[in-house]
Amino acid sequence: MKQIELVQEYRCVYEGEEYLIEIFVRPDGSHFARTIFSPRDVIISDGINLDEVLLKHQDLLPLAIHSRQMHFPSRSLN
Amino acid sequence: MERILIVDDEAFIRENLERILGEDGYHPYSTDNGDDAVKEVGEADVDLVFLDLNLGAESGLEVLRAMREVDPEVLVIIITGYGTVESAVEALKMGAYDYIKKPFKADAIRLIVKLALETQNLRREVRQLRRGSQSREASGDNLMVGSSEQLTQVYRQIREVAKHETSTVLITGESGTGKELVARAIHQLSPRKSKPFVEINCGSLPFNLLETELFGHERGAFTDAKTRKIGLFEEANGGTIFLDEIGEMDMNLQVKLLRVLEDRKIRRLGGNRNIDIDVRVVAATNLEIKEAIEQKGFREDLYYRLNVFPIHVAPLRQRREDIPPLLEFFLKHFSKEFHKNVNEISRAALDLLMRYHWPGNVRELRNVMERVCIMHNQETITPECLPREIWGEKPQDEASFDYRIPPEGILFEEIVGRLERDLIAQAVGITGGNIAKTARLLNLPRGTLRYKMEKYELGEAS
Repeated sequence: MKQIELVQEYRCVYEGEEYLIEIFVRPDGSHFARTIFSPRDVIISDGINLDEVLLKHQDLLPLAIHSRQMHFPSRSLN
Repeated sequence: MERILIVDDEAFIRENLERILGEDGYHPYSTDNGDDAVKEVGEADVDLVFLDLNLGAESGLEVLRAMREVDPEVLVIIITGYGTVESAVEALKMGAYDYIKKPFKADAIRLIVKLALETQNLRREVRQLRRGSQSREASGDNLMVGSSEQLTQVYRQIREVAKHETSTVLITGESGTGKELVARAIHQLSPRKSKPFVEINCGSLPFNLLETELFGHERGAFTDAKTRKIGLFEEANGGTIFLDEIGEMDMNLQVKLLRVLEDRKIRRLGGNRNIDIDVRVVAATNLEIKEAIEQKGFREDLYYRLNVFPIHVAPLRQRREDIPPLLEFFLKHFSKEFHKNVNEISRAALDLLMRYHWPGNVRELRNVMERVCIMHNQETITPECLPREIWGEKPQDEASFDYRIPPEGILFEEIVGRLERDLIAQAVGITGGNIAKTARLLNLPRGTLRYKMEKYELGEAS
């Protein structure tokens, strides 16, 4: 049976910090992107194809990072 | 694109209408019999129906009746020939939107379709506004009041996330802190503001009811499903859905919500096709949702999709500088509402109100002010006007942890752990996350504080 597969990894730099975006494909062909800030703090975006999900995740990532910086001003995310 | 169903046994009428409507950018399609038409209304999304009153051997009135049984809100325009105007009037009484006589002109069709679809949109808006005003009444106010650092940060977060109209948001905070107001503010400041804001409390309905509320159902999906019901996700299309108390959602429904977030599609109960939706999901919880995940009460993968942009609304006891403006706001509000002249709070009363720890947060403060305005006629609120729990409350710094052990015993580590976590979280909130200041405030060595912050996931100690 086909499983979820990691298909791409991108490194994205935001305000001097590097973040990893992992893109997975599901058996039905849809994709999702994941960034792990800490073991319990993860964000996931979904999309139809790799380009769409990467674009969406790249758009949301700064927002997600910023929201975490607002919560924990002294905290480094990576 | 609006779907318009044409039901007429004359091919010439069907083709003519399809051509006119197609030229105007609608999606017209047709059938020559009532059975197919009723089935279509029951199974598909039809925005408008043109129905011939004289369908050969079939009665258009009977078809109309059957259609309205399947979908009471279906918009039907009757097509009537010479000599059947009385029947058309009968159809109007049965709920048809309007009628048009054969032969008709293209301009007349265009006008009637435009008006009918505008009516349909207005109906939807009225329904949404009614729902919105009810929920505002239930929550008691429609403003966020205060200028504390914590609330100012929430305002900043609202403005930032509002711009990104696809980001999901997870609002956390105790009951009564105003999570719904945050959700409304996000919607109001977003490009989606002209579209619906739909909210539901996931903890207030049993699983089955919540499922039909969220996803809708087709006629016959279950015993009581006499007609089709449009769910809240569909109603919110283009706008925002606010899922309050998401932590209370049943695991099976969490799976369905996860699919909605993954696929951006929903399927009504008993339906056989997926419906595309474009909805921003804002969820809120007063639970420690990470604990719920550990205890397998909440799906981790759902949490990761909801928690893209977290907003925490601090309890009122952690932002006491917001108490005076809130008191003033509610005092004015209820004084006016109850035609009273209560306009001042004595120093002693204010001291008590400031020291009280407000377990019910802003909602409790609002209720206290409401009660005071109802019960008293004097201009100045004195300590005697206040409920016993407020003037009888010990100041926070003198509070003892008066805990009664129940006969069945307690989970000591868990209770102490919760208390410890709460105290550290409070201190982190007060110092804005500064480790040195937090350690000083708690009289803890920095290393111990770091260890405990990591243990309770209160942010990495840098």
